[in-house]
Amino acid sequence: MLKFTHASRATQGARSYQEDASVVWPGSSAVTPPGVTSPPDGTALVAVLADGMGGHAGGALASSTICSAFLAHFTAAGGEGRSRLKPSLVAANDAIGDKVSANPQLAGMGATLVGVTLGETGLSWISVGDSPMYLYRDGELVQLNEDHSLAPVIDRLVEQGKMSADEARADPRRHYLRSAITGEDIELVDAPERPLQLAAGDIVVVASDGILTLEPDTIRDLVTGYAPNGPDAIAEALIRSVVEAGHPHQDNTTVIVVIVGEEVA
Amino acid sequence: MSSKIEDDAMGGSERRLMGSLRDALAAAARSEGSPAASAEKEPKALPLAPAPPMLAPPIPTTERKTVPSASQAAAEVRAASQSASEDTPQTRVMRPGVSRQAAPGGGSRTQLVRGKSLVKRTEFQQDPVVGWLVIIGGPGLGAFRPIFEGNNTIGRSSAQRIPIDFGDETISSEEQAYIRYDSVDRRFLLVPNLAKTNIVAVNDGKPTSAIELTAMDVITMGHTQLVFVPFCGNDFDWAELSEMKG
Repeated sequence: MLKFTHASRATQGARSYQEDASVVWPGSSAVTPPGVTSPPDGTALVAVLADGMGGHAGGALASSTICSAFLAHFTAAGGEGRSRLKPSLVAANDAIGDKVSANPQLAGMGATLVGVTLGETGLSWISVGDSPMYLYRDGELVQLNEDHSLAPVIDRLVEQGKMSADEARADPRRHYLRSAITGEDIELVDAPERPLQLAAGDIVVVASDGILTLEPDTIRDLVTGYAPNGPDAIAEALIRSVVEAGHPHQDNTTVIVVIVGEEVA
Repeated sequence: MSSKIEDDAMGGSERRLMGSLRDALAAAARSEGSPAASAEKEPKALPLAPAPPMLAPPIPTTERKTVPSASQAAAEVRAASQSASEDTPQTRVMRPGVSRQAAPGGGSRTQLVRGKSLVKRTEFQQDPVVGWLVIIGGPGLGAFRPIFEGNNTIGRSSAQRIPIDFGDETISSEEQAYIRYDSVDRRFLLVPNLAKTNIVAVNDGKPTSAIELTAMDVITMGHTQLVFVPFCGNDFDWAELSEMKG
């Protein structure tokens, strides 16, 4: 029997507004809708993270709308946890569309989305955008979801010899999104058909792309170092490292850390 | 974003076999190479049934059921999804506001999700601009006027589709000439109105019938000189947007 502990932390970075939103359910900060008592069978946790875009008011509104609409649909839907992911994404997208229709000034607002279910049946996700989700296992950190930013495209140019690695790293278009939740058609959605089996000792980190201030090896080492102290310690360490890096335009950064443990009888 | 697999300090022969198995399976999932090639790479690997990249990797036949590494688990999920959605067409229609680059490699897990507030790009809120006339001599120097799709009447009256209304009285009030553009031919034509007294010049000539305009041609009407600047043409037309969306 697996058991799950989790923690979330965030920093506004160098920005004057917070456009990230995140929620974990069940959890202390998530409101349980009336009539919903427990998560679906096989699902212990649902984690949602959205990184907003579209200017000050729009970005924050988009990410919080997406998180709450996704979770509201997820908790109300029937069926197995994994099967609720796509309809919840559609509900979140529609919620943005409704807001834009009601207030056309908000047109263009949107956010990335990572929705994750964790439980005995394993880890399943639906992801749009470039908010990374990592699996840490046995000292190894791997990004699970696809990166819908331009970064992979730009990096491929380096592989093909059409751009230098330095140029690629500095190119501001790295952060352009090829896919996001804006109320319109979403062409790129990462939603694998089958779950990833979890094992005790696994750690899952869902983050907004502000965390990319840190090298993957640094993230891995922080997780390794703080794992014995629990998810709060890991989350705090990650955010602290981002803040201490002192990037002048540091983007909002949010992390959700889930540790998979063994249920001791 | 994955870190390099750290193969040092792999104690025990089983962990070492696991490492080479993982490498072989990850390579099989990624590449189109023959199974024989990947087996050759790691002679100590367990004998694998020839596994085409699309199938999930077989369970290793060690006695103890071991947990796959993080990168192997990720590769398994990727491989399974590739086989499941092999016949899904991989459309990469880009929307304005996001880059117009195609997705590299791992597009197999992507799907189309229908959105609600589809912005219909075939419905313009105003006539889309297809080019400009810039005033480089005479009244209105430095200003510009947009050119629109279809037939554009040019005259000094503000009611003309292209109003050259900066005070040059020697331009006819209405229909001194016409500029025509359509998205089928994607050509700009200047058609002088021979019924008018005033004569329109294009560069050094005084056309008596329709002539095609090219970028930076100078049109002279009355005391005003205008430079033609095309926007639409072979490289772009507004019709392309509605084609992409459809």
